[in-house]
Amino acid sequence: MQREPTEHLLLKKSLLVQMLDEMCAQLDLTPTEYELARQRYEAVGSWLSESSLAILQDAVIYPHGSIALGTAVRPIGSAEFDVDLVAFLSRALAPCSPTQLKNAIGDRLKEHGTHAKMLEEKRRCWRINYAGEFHLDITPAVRNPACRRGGELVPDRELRRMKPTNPRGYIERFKRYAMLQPRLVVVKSFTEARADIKPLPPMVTSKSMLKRVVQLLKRHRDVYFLGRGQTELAPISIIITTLAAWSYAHCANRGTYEDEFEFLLDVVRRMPEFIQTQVVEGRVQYLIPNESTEGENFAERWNLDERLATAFATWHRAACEYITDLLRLEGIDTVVKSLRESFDLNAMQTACLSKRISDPISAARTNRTAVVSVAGGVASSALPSQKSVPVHSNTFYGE
Amino acid sequence: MAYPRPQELTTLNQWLRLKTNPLGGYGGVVRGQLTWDFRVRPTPLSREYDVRLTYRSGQRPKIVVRRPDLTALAAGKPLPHVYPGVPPPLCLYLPRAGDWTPSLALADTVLPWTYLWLAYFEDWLVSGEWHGGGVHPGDLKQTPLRKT
Repeated sequence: MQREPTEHLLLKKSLLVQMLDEMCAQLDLTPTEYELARQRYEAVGSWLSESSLAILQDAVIYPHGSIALGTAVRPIGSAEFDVDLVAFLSRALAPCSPTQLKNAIGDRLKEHGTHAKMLEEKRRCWRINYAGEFHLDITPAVRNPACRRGGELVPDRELRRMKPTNPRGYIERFKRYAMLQPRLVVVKSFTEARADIKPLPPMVTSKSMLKRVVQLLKRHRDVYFLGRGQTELAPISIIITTLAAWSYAHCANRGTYEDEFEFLLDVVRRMPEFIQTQVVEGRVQYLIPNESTEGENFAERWNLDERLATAFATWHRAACEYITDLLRLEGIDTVVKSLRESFDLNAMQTACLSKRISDPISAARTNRTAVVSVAGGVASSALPSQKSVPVHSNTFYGE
Repeated sequence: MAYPRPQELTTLNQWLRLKTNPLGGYGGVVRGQLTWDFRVRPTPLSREYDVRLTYRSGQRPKIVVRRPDLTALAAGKPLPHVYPGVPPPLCLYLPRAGDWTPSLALADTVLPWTYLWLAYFEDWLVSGEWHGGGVHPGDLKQTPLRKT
């Protein structure tokens, strides 16, 4: 029968997306961890703002980066998540000395008995180490008077100048992108020669597909470059996040897809299309602008080290191939083992993946709703297009 | 109080039920032995398995996976929930517990249970745990069964 192979493929793609969603959920912070992080950084914020130093009063601390975007992934080889924080100093007036701002924060943190013991100085921020939990990385920021969109200035890496950025603007924009939904076309059947556009069922992922794509790619990047001993060439997360967001918006607005797997794949494939290039004095200059403020180019380091652009291209191609090849794998064990290797999953995370398949089956057996069909295998309810056989209760036996 | 037992299905009857079942397959009855070959993909992510069911009236149905080699897939670990043999017949139900009796159609019981078994098998391959429940001969408190 012609119908079954295609029906099977659609079901397989849906299941794959669910597996990837489950995997990202395993790599993400739990809601409890998000909440704990929030409590910790709000306590730090209170401490800062209660300082007698004028510049710190009314300091507002807020998260940016993956914690704020909802795209955190557990770091490999480290027990602690990175929590990126901005300490926005509304009382400070530009021009500011980056060193002065950084020292103000550092000095105040040192006054706190507990924080002082966990404190570590970084280039332009201070890190509070909650061992086994988080690194809180606190960067000072002041208002950028030159930016009409409420942007800020943060110290640059060399602590020489303040450079423009807009974490809150970026986060807002990303959240709007993440709310876009793709258009899925349901091909009605093989006996009718037309495609129906059906209202789609709710997305099979538990978080916006955009956030899952970012998590997937960040983790894939981590393993890819670590495995090659080239972590210094790994594309930075803000580049992956920004390109993914633009590609996602483009695909959601312009494309129609048969299923979420195809959508995910297209989002990943198209990312390089959003890298802007210019030839200046015979050399290629890359531009990935921060839309939320003027004057921030996420790809500025690509223009200083030509290996970075190549590393991105090579890695991106490998990521696309990996996702495409996933579809060709057969066997829950084969798929899970492949994910385990390419995303460096531990035993517990791996077990959660295979249980993602077997738990619904077990629940259906208990509830006596399990059915079997050729295209869908064991399912917890009959698929409308499939002839199914109910599963009577049984007890496995034997060695 | 005595009441009539449900009618045992004849081998031919079993075969007719198999021929018309939605899960497909092919086979026949030769000299009283029913052989039914069917292909199983337990979940959309799973591989396909070629399974053979043999049955003769008065005996328990025997279900073996002809392809791929389960023992090879298990890479040396002893398979869960199988009877001794090469290839090992699958234990799909508890004997004498009424899960299956000769009055029940194999098409309605053994075929779907094979899907279940193989789904849990693939899960077991990666997790090392059998999540399908079940009992082992040693668990039963009756006359101890001899393990061969």
